[in-house]
Amino acid sequence: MSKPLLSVKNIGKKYCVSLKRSLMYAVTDIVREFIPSSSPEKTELRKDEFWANQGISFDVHEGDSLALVGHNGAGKSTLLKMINGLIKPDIGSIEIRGRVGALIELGAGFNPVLTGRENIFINAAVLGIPKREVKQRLDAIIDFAEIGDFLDMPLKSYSSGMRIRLGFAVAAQLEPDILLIDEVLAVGDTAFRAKCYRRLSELQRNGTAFILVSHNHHTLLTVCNKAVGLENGKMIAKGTVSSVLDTYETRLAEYTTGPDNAPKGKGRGKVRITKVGFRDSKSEPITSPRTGEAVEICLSLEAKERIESVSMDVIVRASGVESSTLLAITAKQDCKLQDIPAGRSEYRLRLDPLGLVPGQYVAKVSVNRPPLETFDIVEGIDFLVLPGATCGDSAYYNPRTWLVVAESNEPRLENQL
Amino acid sequence: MSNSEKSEAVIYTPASPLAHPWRLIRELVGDVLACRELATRLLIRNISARYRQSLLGYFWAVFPMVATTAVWLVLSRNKVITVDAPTVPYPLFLLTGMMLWQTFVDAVQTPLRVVTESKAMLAKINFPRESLMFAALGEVLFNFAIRGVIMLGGWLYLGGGTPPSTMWLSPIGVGVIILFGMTIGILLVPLGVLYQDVTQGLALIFQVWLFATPVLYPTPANWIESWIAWVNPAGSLIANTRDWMLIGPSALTTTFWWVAFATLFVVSAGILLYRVAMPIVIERMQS
Repeated sequence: MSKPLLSVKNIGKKYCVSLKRSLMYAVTDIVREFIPSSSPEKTELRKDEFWANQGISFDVHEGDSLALVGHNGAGKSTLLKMINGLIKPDIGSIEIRGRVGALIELGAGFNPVLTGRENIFINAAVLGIPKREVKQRLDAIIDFAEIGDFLDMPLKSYSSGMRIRLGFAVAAQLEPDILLIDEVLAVGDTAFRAKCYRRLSELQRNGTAFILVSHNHHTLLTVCNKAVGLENGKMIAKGTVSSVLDTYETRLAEYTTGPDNAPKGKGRGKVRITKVGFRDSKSEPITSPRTGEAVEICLSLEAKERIESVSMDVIVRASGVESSTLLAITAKQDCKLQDIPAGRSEYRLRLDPLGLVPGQYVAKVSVNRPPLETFDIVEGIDFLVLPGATCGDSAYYNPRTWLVVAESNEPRLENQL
Repeated sequence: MSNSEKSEAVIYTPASPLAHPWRLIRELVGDVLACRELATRLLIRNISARYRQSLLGYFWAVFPMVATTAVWLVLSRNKVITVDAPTVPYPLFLLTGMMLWQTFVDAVQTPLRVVTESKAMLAKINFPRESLMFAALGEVLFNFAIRGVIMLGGWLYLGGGTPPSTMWLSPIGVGVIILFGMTIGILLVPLGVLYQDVTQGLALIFQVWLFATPVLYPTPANWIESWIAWVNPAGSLIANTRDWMLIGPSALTTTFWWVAFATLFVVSAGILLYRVAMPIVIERMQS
């Protein structure tokens, strides 16, 4: 096999949790760069430092698509930054043959006061696309961005969607050997996303290698041919996408149900949430619900006294940055306030069937008494939805029945088209 | 960056770039050559964005120099302060001095400001970072040009008379002032991005510095031999350049050339520091 485009060898990177100290370390690190040293590797952790990346190795060949899997804070972005050459590794080495492009921030260098046209040239220059090429492809860019008449208006007057489209349209002109993609494709409307994916598959056909960060397992499974799983900065799995996702999911399940790591409420009020979990249609405890099957979201409660008219609120977002709320259900809105007995009890929300598609989500739950008294809140509950009923590329699972009916006496349909 | 061939591998390691000085210089030169277009774009963006959202526009570039000139003029006319009369009209003397001083201040402050304004971009995109320095230089030159026009107007209006024979040296003077200021500016960038104290401190220092520099008053006779001429090289550069512009041969010229010569070395150090320190500084930028 030919030499890899990208070869990451035993990479390590330290981060500092204390701001003051991290600034001080920056100054010493700069000074240290000017002092010749026999071993440049910085293996010692200083006070307040931790390994944001440790012992990560993998290769990417031409035409490869590598998925980086891991929950928020696992070290994916740090790794991408090192590959992109923004920051230096503390240990190990990264060898790159070819041009690296990054779809990490769309519209870099955009200025709101300047017009769309001016911003196209600025953004292209920042990404390293020569002016001559931009001029040639200006029409294609404008077409792709679908900004039409707005071209000569200041960027201020653009909607956020238009800005993102413009940013992607310019970035789409890049033809790198390795493309780093960090969740930017999670934005924009469906039609535009489809267009972005078309452009990406075009690049893929031309041999561009991808490194993709996404919380959408469906995307990863369809786009990527290998994966690396990260947890707390360490590599926990490497191999095919499905095997890495499997490992990752098992680990995540342990993480969410483990006695120590399980998120707990911090409330000291009359009611405390002691545990958050799922039960299946037979009320058996499960770690991850499945699409299209019944699930009960259960809050174990401990109440000091009996309390009447208590609401349970559940908010679910897709995991990842800038994700929108997918579920926001409260007992109050449904006019189903419940009475909580003194002592231990379980407040359950039954969803039958679950409409979320397979993937990673974050939930926030709370118990409160409307209108103003909040007893306890648990945030950042990471959980997975496993594949169950088929839902294809749908954004959510819709329960359904199919049938064919011979013409009968039922009233005819009006043609609405 | 964009033109590198597939055959040439880029390797990122923990080693200091200074461990391979030739590679460092080669990459630096490559980046500088590659960043011309980007630097021009950024310069145009910064200037047009600044003036498009401003009613008074270019006025702000000349306001400090005109205002200070006016205040000092009023103060000295009313004998609140007494200044040894220079050999040229005092208003012209003030205006020239302030123009050079403002250009110097601008040259010190602009690199850090441009980098700070580009934090979001630096934290996410890999582009030749030297382009920011060239964009900063462009901005300093642009502002100088505006101030130059005002000064020229002042000179015509106040009747500066025939320019001295040393007039043709003044571009060199201005060039060295800008280079000297930018050198300080570049050296301050890494620390200034990390700690806001630098920006705060600079504003304060300049206030004091102005009065310790022969900008608003003629160069004292004993300045040339005094240690201050060396401790405050900016003063020597400005006074010398102003002499070249208005009066003629300056007693400070030897000091001027020494400072210019030293600046050439220090600026190289500044460029190296900037290149080496930026990845470490970027690590601390919010993304």
